[in-house]
Amino acid sequence: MDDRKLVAEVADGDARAFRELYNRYADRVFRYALSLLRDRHLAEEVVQETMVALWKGAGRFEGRSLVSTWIFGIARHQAFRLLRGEAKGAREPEVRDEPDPAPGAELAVRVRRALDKLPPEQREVVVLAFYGGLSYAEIAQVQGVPEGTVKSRMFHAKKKLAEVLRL
Amino acid sequence: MTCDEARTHIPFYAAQTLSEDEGNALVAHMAGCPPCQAELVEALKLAHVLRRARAPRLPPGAWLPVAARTVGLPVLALNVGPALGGVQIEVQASPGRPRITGNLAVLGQKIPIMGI
Ligand SMILES: [Zn+2]
Repeated sequence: MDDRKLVAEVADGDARAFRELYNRYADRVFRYALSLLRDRHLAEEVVQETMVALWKGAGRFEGRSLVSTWIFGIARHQAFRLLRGEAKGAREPEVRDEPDPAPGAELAVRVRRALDKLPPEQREVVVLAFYGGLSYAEIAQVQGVPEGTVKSRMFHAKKKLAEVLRL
Repeated sequence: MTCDEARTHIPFYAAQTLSEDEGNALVAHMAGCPPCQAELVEALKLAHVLRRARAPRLPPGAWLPVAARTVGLPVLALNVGPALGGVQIEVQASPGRPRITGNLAVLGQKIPIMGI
């Protein structure tokens, strides 16, 4: 079922459709929020607020934008709200490398450090494209900038990452 | 397509988020352009590394606070199994009245069980 149909069913109060939408987007929104906030707890809070906003706002989704840009746009708004410390109990984002014994963790740390070297708006483009599955046109909508700006951010980000990760 | 245009599209091609038309135009350019092919190899390596670097995932319980604030927490999940036509129901403790949601499969047709 496509995302638009799901949103229409969510607007009718369909709990299963909502769970499906959550399954499709929660992890992607989490990774995106984590890249903006660099704090797991704050990123989880963004996911929660975004999903609650979806549930309440599904009836107002007009279909002029894609479901994906709508959802990531809400997440972005929530993340910046937290960054500005407007939310209740807001904390300073903490930048740290949490010890993680799972396989693949070493590479994950290397990649995270490489991403951290990028300017935030470039990192956001990389995460939205590679982890969020968004096109440059969709990212332009989420960031509120022209498509050319997104393309140039990606171009520079890729160059820098290739250098840092020695690809 | 110029090399400059190609190079701004290559990372999105590696991320598999270009449209089909854009992808085809890019491939047509790259077929005759070794420098852009080298760019593509680099972008594909980046995509591979990003994918392999175990992307962070939400903890499994993250759904519960969302459910509590929206559809209600499932307090009971029943799976009757195929013997009775495959009934699976979830009883939600929603903020309002209790709801039962689920699907009843009868002769291959799914019949939704609405709020009871
Ligand atoms: Zn070229």
